Amino acid sequence: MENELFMNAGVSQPPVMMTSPSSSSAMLNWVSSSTQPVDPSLSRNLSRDCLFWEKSTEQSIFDSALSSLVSSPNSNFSGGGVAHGDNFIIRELIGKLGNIGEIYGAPASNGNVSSASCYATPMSCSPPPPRHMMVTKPPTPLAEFSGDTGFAERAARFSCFGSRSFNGRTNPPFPINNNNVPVVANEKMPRVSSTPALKPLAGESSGEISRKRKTKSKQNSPSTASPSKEVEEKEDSNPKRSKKTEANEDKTKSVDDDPYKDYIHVRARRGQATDSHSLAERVRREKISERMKLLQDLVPGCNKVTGKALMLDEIINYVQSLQRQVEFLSMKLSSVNTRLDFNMDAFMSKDIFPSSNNLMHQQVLQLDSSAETLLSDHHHNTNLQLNPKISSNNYIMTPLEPSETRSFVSHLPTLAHFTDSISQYSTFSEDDLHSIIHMGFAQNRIHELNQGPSNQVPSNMKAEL
Amino acid sequence: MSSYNMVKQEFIKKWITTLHILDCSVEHPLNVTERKNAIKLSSDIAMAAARSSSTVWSRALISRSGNKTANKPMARRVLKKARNRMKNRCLTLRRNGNFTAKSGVRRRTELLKRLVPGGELIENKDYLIRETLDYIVYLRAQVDVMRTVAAVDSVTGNLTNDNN
Repeated sequence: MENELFMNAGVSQPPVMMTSPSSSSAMLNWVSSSTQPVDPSLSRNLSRDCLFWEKSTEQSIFDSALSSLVSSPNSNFSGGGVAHGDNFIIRELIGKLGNIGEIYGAPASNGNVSSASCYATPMSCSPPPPRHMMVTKPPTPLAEFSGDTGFAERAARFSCFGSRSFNGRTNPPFPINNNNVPVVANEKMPRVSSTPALKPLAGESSGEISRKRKTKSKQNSPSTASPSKEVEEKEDSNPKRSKKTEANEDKTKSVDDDPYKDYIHVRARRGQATDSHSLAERVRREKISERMKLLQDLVPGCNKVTGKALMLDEIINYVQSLQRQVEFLSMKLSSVNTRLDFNMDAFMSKDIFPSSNNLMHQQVLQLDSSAETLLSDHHHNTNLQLNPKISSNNYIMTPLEPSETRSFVSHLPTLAHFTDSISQYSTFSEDDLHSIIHMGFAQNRIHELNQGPSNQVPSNMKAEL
Repeated sequence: MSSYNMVKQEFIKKWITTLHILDCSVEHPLNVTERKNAIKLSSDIAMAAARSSSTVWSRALISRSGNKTANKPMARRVLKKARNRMKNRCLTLRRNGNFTAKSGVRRRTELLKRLVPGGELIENKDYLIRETLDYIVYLRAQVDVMRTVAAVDSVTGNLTNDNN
């Protein structure tokens, strides 16, 4: 299904080109020029529009522009009258396309390394064709958009299909161009050509996933693959795929024919059959083995397992264990909150992420007083202010968290309470959360000991902070 | 590390939203089982919504959750039209019947298809593995977030218990 979508999007380019190349060149001008800064949403909208117009001109520069736009969503361009008119229509489109904007925003922080080089290619490739249309640019942007009736549908489908792949586009576009250019020109192998069209996107999505995996494998166990190894593996896979799409490669390393066998031995194959079916088969198997390798890095403890069946076993076990953990944790969360009662008024203040310094100071002051009350083990129903302790802790680390005082009322807790507790943690990073837990455990220890002078407690808490 | 944290942040935001919506639509009080189901449902939908409906498993998860409970408005709000499409496809597949396999990879593939939401709709084995990869990432994020929240909640719960 996705193959057809992509091919449809590719096939339907010529009519698009006829109607609106002028604005595409205008867009490219805006992308390359850097005059004044615009707000990120505006730039994202126009970047997306640039993205689609890029698609309409050439396939090869599409990916380079895509990566450039993704890597620098804050690209600046001069706002002309046409630009502003385009923006409203673009915003309507974007409203239908879902939250691609977040995905665009995500890799923005990864740097604008390739932006300079990518700017060069669109400008160099595209100016000649639409130059003759520059004079007859229509004054209203609506004409361009209305001429392209199926544009919104194609955009929606393309976004729906490729939005995941956009996330990984900060990788250098060089291997993508290698893949795309021979693939589009190759008409002899319809089956293979459709899948390699996916392959850059698939490669990028797997690149994105491998980036995510990088973080998680760092978290999980230090013994798993290092990031450099994964990067090598990913980049190694890209030239491997480019070799294959060119076909008739004599000494490509490939895997055994039998897909159920061990994948460790690689041996060079000579004179491999060059018909489309076996090539497609080989491509498919390579992709599957690639994915299995990625899964190996993702699923912990999978490095020693070889063979497809055992790998699948591990994956199944892992997915099952994760799902069971979710069940267990949701049960635990539903039961834990029965002990915490929050004031509904405090919750109904809809600001979930406020940051008010005055309140912080108050709570820091109240922290000491409440610590004394804790120590003296008085029974009180008012203003214990648990959460100020947490928020004062985070005040020192990050000044952004909600600050609400609560009083304990004994009634059955609702999901609102749970939401409240989650909303506090939404702005925390993982380190903050760990520190919260440490601080909480420290306070637990204080409770259990139930002794010591009052001045000892604040010092303990400060030590935790 | 940062992209995984962004996944978790996204999941947290969506989870808060779905919990808000769920809280408005369900009466109180609830017993523990219902709370657990509500929490799980909201977190599943949040996980799928964080993936923003570009993967098969996210759409299937939302359609499955929408079918199970009466929270059709919430599911509809989170996901727009892919939900109904996925629901119809699920029904037709189940009607066609399941072919059980005995040997090795095929059996495990079918098992995996049953585990991953929407996996039964995927015929291409390669795409199934890709979906599984993505699903694992988000499932892992969900588990991590829930575990952290549970830990903090239990810690604060201990504090209040000691007070009372």
